[in-house]
Amino acid sequence: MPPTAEDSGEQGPPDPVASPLDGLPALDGVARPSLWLLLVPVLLYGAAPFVANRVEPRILGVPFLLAWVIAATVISPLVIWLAARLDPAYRANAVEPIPADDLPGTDAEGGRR
Amino acid sequence: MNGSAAVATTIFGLAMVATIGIGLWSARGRSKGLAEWSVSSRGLGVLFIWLLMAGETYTSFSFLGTAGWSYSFGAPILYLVAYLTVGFAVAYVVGPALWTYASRHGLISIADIAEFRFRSRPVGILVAVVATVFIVPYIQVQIQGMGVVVNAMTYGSVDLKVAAVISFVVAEVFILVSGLRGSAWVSALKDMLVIVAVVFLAVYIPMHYLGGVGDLMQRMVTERPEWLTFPGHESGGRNAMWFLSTVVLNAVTITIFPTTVAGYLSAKSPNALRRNALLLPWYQLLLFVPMVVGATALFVMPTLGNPDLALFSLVTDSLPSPVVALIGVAGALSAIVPMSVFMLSIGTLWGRTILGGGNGADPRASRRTSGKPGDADDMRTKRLSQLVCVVAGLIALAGSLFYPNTLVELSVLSYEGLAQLVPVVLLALFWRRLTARAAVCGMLTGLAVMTALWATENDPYHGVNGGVIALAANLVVLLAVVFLAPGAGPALPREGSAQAAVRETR
Repeated sequence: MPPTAEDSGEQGPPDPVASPLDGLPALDGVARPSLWLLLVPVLLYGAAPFVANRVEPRILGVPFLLAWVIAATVISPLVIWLAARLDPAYRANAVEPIPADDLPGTDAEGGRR
Repeated sequence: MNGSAAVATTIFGLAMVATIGIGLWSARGRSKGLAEWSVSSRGLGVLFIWLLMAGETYTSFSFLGTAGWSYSFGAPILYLVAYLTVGFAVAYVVGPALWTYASRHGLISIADIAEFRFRSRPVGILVAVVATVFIVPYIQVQIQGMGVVVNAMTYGSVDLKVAAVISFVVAEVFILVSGLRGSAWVSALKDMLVIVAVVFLAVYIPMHYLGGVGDLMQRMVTERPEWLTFPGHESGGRNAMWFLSTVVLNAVTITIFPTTVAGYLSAKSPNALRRNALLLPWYQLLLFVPMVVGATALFVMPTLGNPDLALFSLVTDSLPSPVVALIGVAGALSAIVPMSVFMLSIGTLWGRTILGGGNGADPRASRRTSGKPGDADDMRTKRLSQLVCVVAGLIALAGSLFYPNTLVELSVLSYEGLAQLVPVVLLALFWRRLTARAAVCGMLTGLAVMTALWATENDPYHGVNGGVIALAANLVVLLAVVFLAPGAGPALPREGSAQAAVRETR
């Protein structure tokens, strides 16, 4: 369980809904190269009908295309897990950076940063 | 009604009572405000998010359509597992992003998000209407799916239409009282039953009819090899391009489905969502089971009139009635849980953005929603949401009783239609220069292209999913407008108040 960091900023006016953002750190532009790993699942599945569209060789009796897709389904969550382990946002339980909020004056509506 | 039917009907009835009980019980001691009803006060941890979102992905289509496609087409059904898994990779970023934006600004739906982002209530209303058009048919699909499941599990003694009404009543009762939290709790029951039922079927069905899974594979290879590669057996052009384009389109689109977003927004922290993105794909392994069962049916019942009944035909044929009933309950709950969340999301979309006067971000709108959960204003918005939740359900129910085919045809377009909302809801959060005018022009273009392709039977177009072509047109128009005639400059105020930025235009 990643530690929650101290409050990242000043409190805004009270929201209509209790804000669960309190105490969550922001990333402030830290690079997150591990997110590129999230492309692996789509590459694995997307390649299936192009490079694996055949019955032979069979893997433990399972036709090759099906075996490929099963393998992709097992590998994908492992890759997403790896992407998370290497992701500073996951390790800090940080809020996701939202470019649309990175403008002065965004707080005008009572949101908090 | 013979003995088996009586047993199955009784178990089904008890399960429905238990469902309502769990659903109602989950609301005890909770706030009565809109945020509790629509997004569980943003308080669900990893476990409940997992249960809820697993509940949403394993729908009645998983029992009916998955086995049915496997039976009729073969390989193309693999798209289902593929896009759901890829969708979780996308959700690793999108889930926390929508959560962060919505939590920061107190938003509860995609229409609410669009309204706030563009400081424009009309944009919010447009998003709400488009989303509604494409998800009401989905509710009907679930209601009819429930009818088919219940009819099959009770050996025909509960009529399709009676089952449809029962599913509507059960889902409405707990969703109206308990909101999203009710769905999450019912999902707990549902997921348990699904896991047990599906793992059992995976072993039992091939063993009972053939010499096990190995024998099934051998027979597929020797007798039905056409099913084992793309484009499958008479699948209507579902080739490699179709697979790739559909997987990409659906994987992105499912992350902004109003139901998925309801799940995201109910999370307690961004990491609850990130952790789910790496846990939920494992659940998709269960989807291979109905595929195997559908393939088994190819050898046992090669001439099924309705392929969607592939799974339940084998189940009722080979198992004693109490087991049939339990599997049927798993199937029925797989319709009820998503149905309830769909109805809730429509209620949420309309209750605040269309009927409730918006969220106050639009400086031109007269009313501003604020105040505390549970105050008069909040309660009024919640009641409006509940009202719409009932009306949307009634429309879908009426559709399933009187026009069973019309709306279901539309549901085929659900993903393609909702995909056109991806720029206005999602790209908008990542690209500051996107303006309301550009987003709306793009969306309308995308919807027009999609409808045209569908109406002229050009979808898929040379194998490419029509939704991808429409989304490409959507983005081209959007880019053109941003760079040539952006309209209201970045919808966010540069300095000072929101009024200043919006007054510059129109």
